[in-house]
Amino acid sequence: MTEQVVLLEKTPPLARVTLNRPGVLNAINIEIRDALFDLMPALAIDPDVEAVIFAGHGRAFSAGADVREFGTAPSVTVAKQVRWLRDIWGLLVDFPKLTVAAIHGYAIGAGVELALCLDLRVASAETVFAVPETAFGMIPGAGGSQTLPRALGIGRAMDLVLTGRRIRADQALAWGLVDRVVPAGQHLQAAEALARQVLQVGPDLVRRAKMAVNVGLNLPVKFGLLLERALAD
Amino acid sequence: MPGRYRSLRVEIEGRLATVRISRPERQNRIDSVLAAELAEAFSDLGHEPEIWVAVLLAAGPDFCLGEDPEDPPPARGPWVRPAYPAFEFPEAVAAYPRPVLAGVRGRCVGAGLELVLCADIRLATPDAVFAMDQLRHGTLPRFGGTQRLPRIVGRGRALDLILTGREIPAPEAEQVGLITRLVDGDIEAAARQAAEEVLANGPLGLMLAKEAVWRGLELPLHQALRVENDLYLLLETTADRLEGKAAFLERRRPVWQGR
Repeated sequence: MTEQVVLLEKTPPLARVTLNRPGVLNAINIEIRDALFDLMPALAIDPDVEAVIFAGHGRAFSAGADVREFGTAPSVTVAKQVRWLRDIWGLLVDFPKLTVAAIHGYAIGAGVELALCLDLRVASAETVFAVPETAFGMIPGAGGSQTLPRALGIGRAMDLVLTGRRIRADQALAWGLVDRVVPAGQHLQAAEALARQVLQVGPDLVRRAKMAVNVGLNLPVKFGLLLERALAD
Repeated sequence: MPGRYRSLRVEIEGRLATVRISRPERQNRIDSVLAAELAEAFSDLGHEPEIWVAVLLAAGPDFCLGEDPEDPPPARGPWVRPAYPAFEFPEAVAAYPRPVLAGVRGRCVGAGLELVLCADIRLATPDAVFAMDQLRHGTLPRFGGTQRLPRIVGRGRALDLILTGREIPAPEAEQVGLITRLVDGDIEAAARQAAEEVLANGPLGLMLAKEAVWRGLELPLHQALRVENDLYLLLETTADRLEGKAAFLERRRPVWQGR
């Protein structure tokens, strides 16, 4: 049997999802997408799991989408259809339980974008971030053009997307791309500690709080306030 | 296109257009002529398929001290629909579909700051100072400042700047995300260098990325993700997309055609 491209380890109440293609810096390919697409709904209803930590095996969190698979869909319209049938990014954005990225090494392109679909981001101090899609004649395709301006403001998002420049962890923290920077190599411990700390208030409350923020931000304030009240009662 | 303006200098160099506000004797204050010229210059650039990036600069020690009270750009209430909104300052700048970089030194105040907010990437020297000071003059920002500033720095910071009118120095502007690059030395050289950085990327991707960010921001996230996806797949049909992939696999620099 070949190596699993996504590894799952459960230590209740946490689950750790590890991208496992270390030879290609965890480049996200169709196989990873499909594995996550199967795994996330199962974790959503798993009674042992209240938070999911995402990490990368080897030298990087993820260096982005797997370029070798670009343009392999039979047609653009088929690609469009499949991307919505297997919308892993939408699934992560809507995931009902706490999600935390434990980032190290490189978080490039779809790697950063994956992390931006999650609730909290912890980065190891040496991490390098970039959104270089335009250098390849593309635009971000894993939600980055939408999640970046919402997280950083439109000015910082535009700079990253239009230049594709690399930024270091300290700048990522100053800009709001990550929430914590920890000494090199401590990202996993720190992410898991953060998740446990958040869950101390009770997992149900965490679910309701993240829903109030994530859903409410997509509503007119008046309806966001109604949602908040409904969730608080 | 170059050379027929009173208060602007437009230079074309390869893929790069430089638009330089040139009224230093009035600290580059925006009067009705400059406003019309900015609108015309940027809407004209939008029809130049060979130009892929624009840089906005200003002559003299200050970027712009706001509106010129002696001859302000025409007023327009919400009930007045301009005949050609796309030809209005500053909407023409915001509507220019390719990346715009703004390089700021000295003071950049009021309508000058509103103009700069229409750019995509803002650079400034450490001595630059920004202020949204319209309320101090008994008026509101009327060139998009109340809408663009909160989308760039967040609502709390935008209200602070709009309601107090206080000056913020460039380092603080960098901390709050109003600018993304603080540059020592020659602002024009730094802006050109950043433009070259942008020009290394695919021109169609740059256009659609800018479109995705602005259009998507007005939508709920799930609809916004669909906008991104549609534009992403539109690029898959272009010659530049094939070139981008080929260049990556052959480990060479792509040669973009813009189609």
